Amino acid sequence: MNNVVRYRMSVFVLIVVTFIYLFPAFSEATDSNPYLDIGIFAFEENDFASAISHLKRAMLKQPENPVAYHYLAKTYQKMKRYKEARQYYIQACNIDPDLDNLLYDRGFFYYLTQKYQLALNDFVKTVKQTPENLLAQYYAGICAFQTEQYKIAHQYFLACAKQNSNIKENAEYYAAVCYLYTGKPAQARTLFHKIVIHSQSGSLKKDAKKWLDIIKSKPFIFRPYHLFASITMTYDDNIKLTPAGENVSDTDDLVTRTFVGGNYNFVQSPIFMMGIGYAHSQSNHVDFPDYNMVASKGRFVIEYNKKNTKQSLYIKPEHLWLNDKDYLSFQGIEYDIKWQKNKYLKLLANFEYGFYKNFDNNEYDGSGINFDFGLERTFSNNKNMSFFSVLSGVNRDTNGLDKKFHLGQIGCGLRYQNKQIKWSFGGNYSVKNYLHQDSTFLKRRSDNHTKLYTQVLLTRYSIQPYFVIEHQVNASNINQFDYRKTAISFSLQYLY
Amino acid sequence: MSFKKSLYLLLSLYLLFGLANAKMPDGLTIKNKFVPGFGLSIGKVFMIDGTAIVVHDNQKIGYQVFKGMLLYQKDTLYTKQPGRALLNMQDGSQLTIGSQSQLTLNKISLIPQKKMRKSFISMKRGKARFNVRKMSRFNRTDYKVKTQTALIGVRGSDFFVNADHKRTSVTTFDNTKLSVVGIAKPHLPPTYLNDFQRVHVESGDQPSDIEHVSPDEIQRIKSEYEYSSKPITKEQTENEKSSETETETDDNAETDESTKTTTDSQSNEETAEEVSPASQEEQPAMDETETKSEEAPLSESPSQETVLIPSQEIVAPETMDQAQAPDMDHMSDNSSQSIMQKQESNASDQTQDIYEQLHEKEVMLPSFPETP
Repeated sequence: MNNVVRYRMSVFVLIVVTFIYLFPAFSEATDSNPYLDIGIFAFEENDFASAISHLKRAMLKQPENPVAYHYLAKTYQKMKRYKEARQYYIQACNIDPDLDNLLYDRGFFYYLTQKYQLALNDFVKTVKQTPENLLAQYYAGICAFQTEQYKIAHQYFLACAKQNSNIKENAEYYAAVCYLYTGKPAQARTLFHKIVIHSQSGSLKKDAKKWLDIIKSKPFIFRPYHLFASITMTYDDNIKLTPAGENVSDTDDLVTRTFVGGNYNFVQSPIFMMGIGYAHSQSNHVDFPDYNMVASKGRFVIEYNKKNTKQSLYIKPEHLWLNDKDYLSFQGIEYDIKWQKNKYLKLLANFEYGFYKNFDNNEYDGSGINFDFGLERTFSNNKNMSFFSVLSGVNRDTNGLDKKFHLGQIGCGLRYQNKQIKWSFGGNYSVKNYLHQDSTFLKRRSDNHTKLYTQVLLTRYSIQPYFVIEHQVNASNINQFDYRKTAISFSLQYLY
Repeated sequence: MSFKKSLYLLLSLYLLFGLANAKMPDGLTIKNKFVPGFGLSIGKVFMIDGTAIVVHDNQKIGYQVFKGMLLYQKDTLYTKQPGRALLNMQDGSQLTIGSQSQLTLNKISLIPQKKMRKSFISMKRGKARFNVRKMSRFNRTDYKVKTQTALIGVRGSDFFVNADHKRTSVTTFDNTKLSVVGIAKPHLPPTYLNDFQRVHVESGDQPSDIEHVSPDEIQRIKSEYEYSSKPITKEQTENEKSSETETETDDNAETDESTKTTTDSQSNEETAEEVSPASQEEQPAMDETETKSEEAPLSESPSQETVLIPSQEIVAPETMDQAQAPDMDHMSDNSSQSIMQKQESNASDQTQDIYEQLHEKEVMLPSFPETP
């Protein structure tokens, strides 16, 4: 190698070595951002004006550094300037969504601005990344609680309650309330008892005691299942619907009905409920045993409550036996919606569609549609009193042409309810038009039906007496279908 | 004794005891029983010599520092005269704080899973030696020390800071690399220091030219800020005072009458410790219980430690309607009331539904047998 080449090589090596030596300094010069560091210190020392000034300069110096945006967001958040804070959180997340503590801080920002679902999403992610972050768990629980996701909320509260921390009692309290709202009163009771005995906080103790009183006085509210039983004696003066004017004796009868039923909610929360129910009833006629009926009715129900609206969907299989023989089978689906428009007004709608199978006379087989629209208006000067009104329609499509009919009905009444008594008085008027000529009377039948009733239920007792009087009048264009009847019933019912 | 000599003696005594306390916040109450700070601990007091006070997050309550005391984010240490403390931090770094110093642990965060360390320490006044552990396998380590005039960026370093409100001096020891920026002039490039160098930063100015520090001076500083078996002597105290470049007139801390302190030093847990002399090149010997390895965290494991949450971050049930027990006797717009009423209504609706199944809708059933 000649000297020139050697010389050039040496110069080259020298340049390379110098560059390597200086490189850390260069890299440090590009990495360092004193404005950012001073801004962070200023934020930690609560000097927000200085923090903003330095962080903005840091942002200008390193526009792709998410830390500056993160701290600007935090600073504005501390100053309660949430609009600016939001912008900087967005920018920080756009650059580096995994930046240390960014998710938690943004979650807390959403919490402060009451965007609880967004906050919950962030806290849940934070807990997944850093399970030891106690506050993230706690606020995840709080946000789930605020959005009425009580099952999720109680998991986080229970996790917090296991930690050795001063929020343990507070977390236990919320977990207990979540248990109540998800239909687990026994677990709630245990936690509330614990708080009453051990808590250092007077207000937590007081609230826990209040909840225990409610659980004790109204246990059925929280139970996921209910049982119902009743026995009814009815005197009916025209059991066979004998037309008025016909000189027929012995049209009255005494009927005893027994009834048991229950339901179980396997999903229960203030927002959503899913459950099954079953009812079995049996009627025994003294004078007309041919009319003894056994009914078996099941139901599957889904209920959804949101804000002031309650929507329910029912699937109802039913079977009836008349005098120990198959009589009627019904499969139906029903949709019900109730809307509490305001404190005083509730609106209702109900739609039902079903199939009928009559084992006695297959001319009655077919399908039917029912719908109801109603309202209930509470009086402003007396909140125990309300007026109700219902408009109903029925369409029955049967195999037998002369059995098909349309029915329109209007009903209204008054209801009085307090802690001890429920009383209602009402009536309805319906017009029933058959679509085809009656095969016997060779006329299209049309009935006008009127019913008046009054009902009293005494609720102060555990076994509740129930008293009903009904009077019905049916006026038809075919005299044989005219009738009047009055029925008086007395029941004892028990709800568990 | 001549009048002049008496005067000098009185002045010395005044300076000695008058400067006894670093300037504490007004209205500070010193309590004997230690209450932990908020969150998980970030370090521990390894040694305490003399008197020091720790205040959590700008509270108005201070606690006498004792050996083994846990430290928390935003803790401020005030050392008195005499008063020295050796702190072990969770990342393995050590801080030795001299007398009449004030130091705040603004933000200390160590995330081994993300290979990240963030430490922001501000030192308002006094002297401290920082032995910062180098985390070479970590992707990102931000270790910053801020005084009133300078910002020091650290990688893995052993250095000494002497600060007051007008001037900061930074002296580096061996295996050290750090950057220094003047707080008032952050736009200027930083000054980089390597081993055995010193720089001064005056208030409002950028760092001075780099000075080389003699081995003797390095040795002297190191020996002053190593723990030894001897208690602090008057000579050492005077050496500290004389090595200060300026005495602050503001720091003529007349004892603040509004500051209540306990004078009984026996109420402290172990203040002065007798330890075996340590080699000046080595770190002070640690108890076996302190650390098993340099990787082990110094604070108790999170599951054992009681974690305190600030009360303003705890959501009281009174702030959430649905969390409060409702008054079922009186109608209200209370959310839990409406939830309870809803549940009660659901329960009674369900029973009503069950009951209504008993009463067949007559329009739905055909007539009974033998009726027209």
